[in-house]
Amino acid sequence: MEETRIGVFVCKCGTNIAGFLDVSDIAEYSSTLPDVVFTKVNLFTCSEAGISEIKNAIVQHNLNRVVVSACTPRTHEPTFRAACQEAGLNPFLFEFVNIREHVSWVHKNDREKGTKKARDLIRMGVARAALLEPKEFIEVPVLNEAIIIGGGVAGLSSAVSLAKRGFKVHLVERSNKLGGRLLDLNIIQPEMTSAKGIIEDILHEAENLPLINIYKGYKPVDLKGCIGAYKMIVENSKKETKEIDSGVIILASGTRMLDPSPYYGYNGRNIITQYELEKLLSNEDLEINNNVVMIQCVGSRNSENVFCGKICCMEAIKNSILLKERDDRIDVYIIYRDIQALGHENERLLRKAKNLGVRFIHYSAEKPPEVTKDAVKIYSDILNREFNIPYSLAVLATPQIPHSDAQELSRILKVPTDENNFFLEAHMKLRPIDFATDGIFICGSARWPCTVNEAIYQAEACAARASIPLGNGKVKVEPINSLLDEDICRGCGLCVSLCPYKAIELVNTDKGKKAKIIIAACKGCGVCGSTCYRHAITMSHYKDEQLLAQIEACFKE
Amino acid sequence: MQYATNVRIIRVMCGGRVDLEMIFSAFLNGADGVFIGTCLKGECHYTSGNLQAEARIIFAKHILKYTGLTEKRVKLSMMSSAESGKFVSSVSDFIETIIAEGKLPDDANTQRKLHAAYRAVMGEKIRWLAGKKTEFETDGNLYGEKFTPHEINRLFREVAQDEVLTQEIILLLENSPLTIKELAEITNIPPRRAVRQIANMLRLGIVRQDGSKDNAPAFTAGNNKRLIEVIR
Amino acid sequence: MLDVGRHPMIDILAYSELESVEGESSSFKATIRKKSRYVNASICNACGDCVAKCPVKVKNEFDMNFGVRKAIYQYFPQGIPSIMTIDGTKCLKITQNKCGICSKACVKGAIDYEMKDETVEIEVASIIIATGFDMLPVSHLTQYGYGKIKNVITGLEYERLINATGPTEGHLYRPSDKKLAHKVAYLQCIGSRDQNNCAYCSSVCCMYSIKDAMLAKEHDSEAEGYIFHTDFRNVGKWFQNYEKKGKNDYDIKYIRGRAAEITEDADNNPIVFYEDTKTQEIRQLTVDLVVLATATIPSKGFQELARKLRIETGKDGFVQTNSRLPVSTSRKGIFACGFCIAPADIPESVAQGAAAAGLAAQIALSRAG
Repeated sequence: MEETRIGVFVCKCGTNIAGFLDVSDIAEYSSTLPDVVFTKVNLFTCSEAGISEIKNAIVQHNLNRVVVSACTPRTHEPTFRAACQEAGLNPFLFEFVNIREHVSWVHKNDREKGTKKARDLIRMGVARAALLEPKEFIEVPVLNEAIIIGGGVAGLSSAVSLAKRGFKVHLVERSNKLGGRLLDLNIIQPEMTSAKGIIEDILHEAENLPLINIYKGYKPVDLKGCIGAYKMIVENSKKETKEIDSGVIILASGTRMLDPSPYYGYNGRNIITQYELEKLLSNEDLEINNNVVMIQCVGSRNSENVFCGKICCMEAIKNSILLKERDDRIDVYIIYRDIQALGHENERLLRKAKNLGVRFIHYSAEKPPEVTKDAVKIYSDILNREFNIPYSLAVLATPQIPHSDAQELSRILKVPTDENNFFLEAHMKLRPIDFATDGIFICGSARWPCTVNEAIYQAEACAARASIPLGNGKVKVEPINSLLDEDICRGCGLCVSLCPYKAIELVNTDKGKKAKIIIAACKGCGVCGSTCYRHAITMSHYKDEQLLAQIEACFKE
Repeated sequence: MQYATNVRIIRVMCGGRVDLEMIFSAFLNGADGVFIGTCLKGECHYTSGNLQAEARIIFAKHILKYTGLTEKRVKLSMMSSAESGKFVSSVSDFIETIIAEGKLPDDANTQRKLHAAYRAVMGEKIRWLAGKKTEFETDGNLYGEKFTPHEINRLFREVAQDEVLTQEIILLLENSPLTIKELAEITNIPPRRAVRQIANMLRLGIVRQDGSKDNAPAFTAGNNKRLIEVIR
Repeated sequence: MLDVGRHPMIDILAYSELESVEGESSSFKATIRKKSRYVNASICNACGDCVAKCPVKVKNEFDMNFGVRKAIYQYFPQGIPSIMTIDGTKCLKITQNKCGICSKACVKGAIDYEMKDETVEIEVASIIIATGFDMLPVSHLTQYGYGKIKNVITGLEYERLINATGPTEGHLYRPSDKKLAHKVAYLQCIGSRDQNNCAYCSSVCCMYSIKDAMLAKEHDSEAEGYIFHTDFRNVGKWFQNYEKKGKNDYDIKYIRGRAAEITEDADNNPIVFYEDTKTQEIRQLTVDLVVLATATIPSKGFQELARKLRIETGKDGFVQTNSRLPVSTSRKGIFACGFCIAPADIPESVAQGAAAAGLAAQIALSRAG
């Protein structure tokens, strides 16, 4: 076996490290560690000078492991890995020891103990480095076709966008017609454009793109594979199934409306929902002869549905404007808790409604309105008085809620949902349209209630994100993944059930049932390896022996 | 942002990568405490690795308690990568706790118990159960019975005690045959508990009778090939 | 930011401004002025030796003028690209031909006092605008006393104070006497939803005020937060839970009412006068510190940029888009994302960014063939 030859580079980071630690002592100590044949102090290891020193040392001293003790791997790990590679050393034979964020910056007042800690960390890093193994990035081919689940405005927009870029799209829609929610809506604020106009435009575009395959009346029942090579089974009501292959998946399955029947005597005639009012308003000969009373936050922002419906306030304001413009004699009341008119257009509409004479009455959650046969009774806490408003139409603002089978879909795709059953993205702030699983994206109200505008840009965003692997035709996966010793595995399936990425499956072999790692899907979290009671799995680049060597070295001064 | 210099950080991909073996290996090597930092619940970068870490820590705590060390010597703290302040205060609290507890005793008794603990966490039962925790809580066991956190805790405590004691007895008997009275004295358990434990172990064939001392039967370690096999 | 910094396909022109754009979608020609940093970017490695020696102290804009920086400085420690810049209006060498210490301090010889602005021309297929926002200056809203009453600060100033890497290392030391502020009032809609200032809702303030009050409580268990709001607008994902958490776990008081006026007592404690909308009484609350959630407006210089780009802006000065084409501007090949379209939170901005990138890339790729 080849002799282990480790080079240690200690960075001063200007004064960031050298100002608080005894760098020359650290370097001198490092040179005494097992297998260390070369040590060097740099002013900035990451500078061009530092990088070329690493490269030269690899060649001149025949190094086969490099340890840099400097800052966080988040900044410069790729830089140093590249340096190793350029000097002919496999980039995974590089180990990063952080003596800045972990030592000098957080122990500014204790030079002696800080220096000792840095020595310990380098000793641990060197122990681990000695056991590192060369690795290659894994390249997985990506089929340049996409599955889109949901044929509403979000799904259709994604489909059109992807097809225009030349990717084949399989659009799966559970109902028998495309268009989704917009088919039932009337006018979209703030521009007050026709909902049907918007959706017809998109539908027209979609139908004229031959790359879009449409599966009406189908829904997903099973999914196998991972980014690059998904295989989805879809099924219709006659239990006929079809198999679709794709490289990526966009989820745009939308929402349903909350059942209004438990609230305020809903009857579908003169006590209806905002959603139903949309349909009435698109009807030319709608006749209303008395007041219209709109009640906000019906079945939302309560203990059962904590969330805010988000779009209902603007829907009510829009409909109140339409009613007033149709017949100024109609008195419209909006009974609200907080008017959600965010952004720069909505506030203007709110003011317009007020100028048109729409009355806004605030109520608190503790004293909700009462709807009787003839009137809505409401206590305004701002005006400190009770109103008794006769109505010919009471309109309830119920929220959109996730589909009843959201959980089932979540299990099939193995993507998470939140406590309300809305789908849960990879990161609430920074990755709003990705799932944690590579190759699956989310847009529209299945993620959270949203406006048409939001649904469209989210759909464009999904198309953009999906275009990256589709366009490249391959994805690069870091070779940090599970390694299985098939001889030890008993095929119990514990790892299969724990894997958050569906990256392990049970297969039948000549030796019986065995686990099988799907490398492209594995993210290398290590849950399987640390759970396996047979010790049949370890993680490449974070192997048991590598980590245990670090632990052992920690205490071997 | 400053904290004491007592910690040495080891990077892993996810809290779910932290094997019970690593925790007890650290104690055997001389660590006075083990701190595990994971993502917040529901925000795990790897979806659910933090929950697996949490399940294992329940075991680690019961084992430490049983070995006579305080459960405070292991701590799992959940935080987001943006919460540096929380990391510092959490680690600082932990350091204070450990300093108050003092250094890990290095007497033969503690070392033997830690060794037994190490063997126990390498064994099948504890690892299997730790892996099943989330399933027991959400989908229930084989018979569809769901476990409350209290029930999980009780089950894990009993199994931890039983497994560590089993391994401790094996360790002792690997050296020389001992009687139940001697075993009870050394391991500091009531003789009745020792009788029950030995009876169980006899039934499983992991100990066998080997002569007698002072008219009492003495025992020695049986054929533990299968038990030892998985322990590297 | 780091990912952008080290991506081989991304060329960063920081400290630069667009001069003009000619041509059309798929073949724009942009003229860009790279402002002189007086520091050679290819040599400087931001070691900081020059900063340590520079004798000129200037108010630190990044820390909202709370702290000081030097005339040679890095805008903020994690800034990309990681290089120093000399503030040409403050440097003694440049303004008075004295000093020159930084040039001696720099062992790499990166300082160049003679450096001039440079104009570059680049050809691009498409353009994305992401110029963000600024805060409405509010000293003219005299009822709130900003600029006069020392312990009335804006939300952005508060962000720096409560930040662990900020000028007070995360301690809420108030401006007047540097004492820890325990009792803090957070006032919403300062200049927003206001016909005379910004008629629109700034969208992000209700949530950030809850966050601000929570942070204060995490730093200081004695902290008391009072949020004065009109409509409480927390509609985004999980925001209602967050609002509840603030009330239940952090004991933040949510008070429905617009503050009418702020005065101060002899100890510089601000007094907030407000109408309790539940009782219609004018009440007052004396606090240690007031934080104003001032209105967000399109960033400074944006109107000029819009003119150069020949794109339409709407009534409030934001980029004009529409529901059908949410990130497209009025000019083909130019896209927009984030706050320059309308007030938006982080996930909205990120999603819009991806959408704009996709559409912009489509033009670039079809041009490349």
